[in-house]
Amino acid sequence: MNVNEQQYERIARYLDGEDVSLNTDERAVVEDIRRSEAMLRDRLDVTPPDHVLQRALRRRQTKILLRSRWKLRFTLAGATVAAAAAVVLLAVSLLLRPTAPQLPDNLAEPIAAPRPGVDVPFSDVMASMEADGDFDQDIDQLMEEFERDAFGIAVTPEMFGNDDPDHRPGVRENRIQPVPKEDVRNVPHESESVDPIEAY
Amino acid sequence: MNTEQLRETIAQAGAGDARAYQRLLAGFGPRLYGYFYRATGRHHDAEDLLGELTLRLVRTLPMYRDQGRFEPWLFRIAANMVRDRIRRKKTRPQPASLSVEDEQGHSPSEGIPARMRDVDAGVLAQEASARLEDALQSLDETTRQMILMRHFGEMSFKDIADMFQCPLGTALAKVHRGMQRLREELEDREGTSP
Repeated sequence: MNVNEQQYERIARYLDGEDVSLNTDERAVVEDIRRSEAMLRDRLDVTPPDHVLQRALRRRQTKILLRSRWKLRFTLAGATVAAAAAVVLLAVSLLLRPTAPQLPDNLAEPIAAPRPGVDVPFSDVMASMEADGDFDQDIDQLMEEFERDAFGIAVTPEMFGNDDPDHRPGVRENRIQPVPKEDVRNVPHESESVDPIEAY
Repeated sequence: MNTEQLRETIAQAGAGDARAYQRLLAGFGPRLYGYFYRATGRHHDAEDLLGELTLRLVRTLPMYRDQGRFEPWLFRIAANMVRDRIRRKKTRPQPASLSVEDEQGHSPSEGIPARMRDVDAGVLAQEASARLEDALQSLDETTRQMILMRHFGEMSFKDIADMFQCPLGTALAKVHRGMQRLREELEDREGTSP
């Protein structure tokens, strides 16, 4: 029943369930191993006392309980730290918040300017402006400027053959193209009545 | 427990289901206890190791990836625990106690005259068990572990070869020679015992 290393490997594969064909020596080894295993099967087995498995289960449950307690403690500790940090942050932000400068006691309280139409009646404002005499003058000046600009757009200085020394360069590009002088002469005056049929 | 049931039970136990864990322990507990007892030769070590293994499974079971090889995985953990325990015992002296057995499974109470001991039917079984324990101790550590893994872990020879990192033929040769020697030892001891 002497077998070498390679034969033992084939036997092991056979015993593991592989489809291996064995010779007589190898089959004898297989039988010997099976006989030994059968003999040891009953002798090696040990029946554990009843309390052993129960105790092992209790140890496991205790472990899980302790772990869950630790988890709970860590969670509570974390929550406490987070709450404390929030309180400290709030306190610091309140302390560092910018406040309005306080006037010294010997200085008078600043007076707010009156708001026209709210603190002062509008009629009083108008009366004040008329009394100053500036009101009409300002309105007249505005009207003059408006007419001058309106006139400058509609009728350019080139139409009258002279340059307006006051006209601004940026306005020129936007103006209507000047009508040639000879055409201007042919334009009938509004006062002359022209019969359109005759003209035709 | 068939393969599908086992897979389901493992998944449930890994998720923290106490009932699934109980089923798992009921299925594998006796074999694990037997392995621990035969490997250490002491009941209280076996009980302690089984309790330690259940605690370790709380942490490791959720990480187990099912590939249909639960028993080799479980018994590999058990073998590592036994190896650690034996190594620790070699470096740390153990206190003597009248209530526990020594490394060979003998209790100090055996020194007490026989008439003072309780004699019952269990004594004969204990003696037979002690003879087997002696025979197991006569084997080298690797061979003993291989035989125990084959019996209690129901491992294939390929799994044993993988676990002990040796060729397949070598694993079977060691197991075969170890079993032959165990048989011879037992026959000798049983032949000489009264």
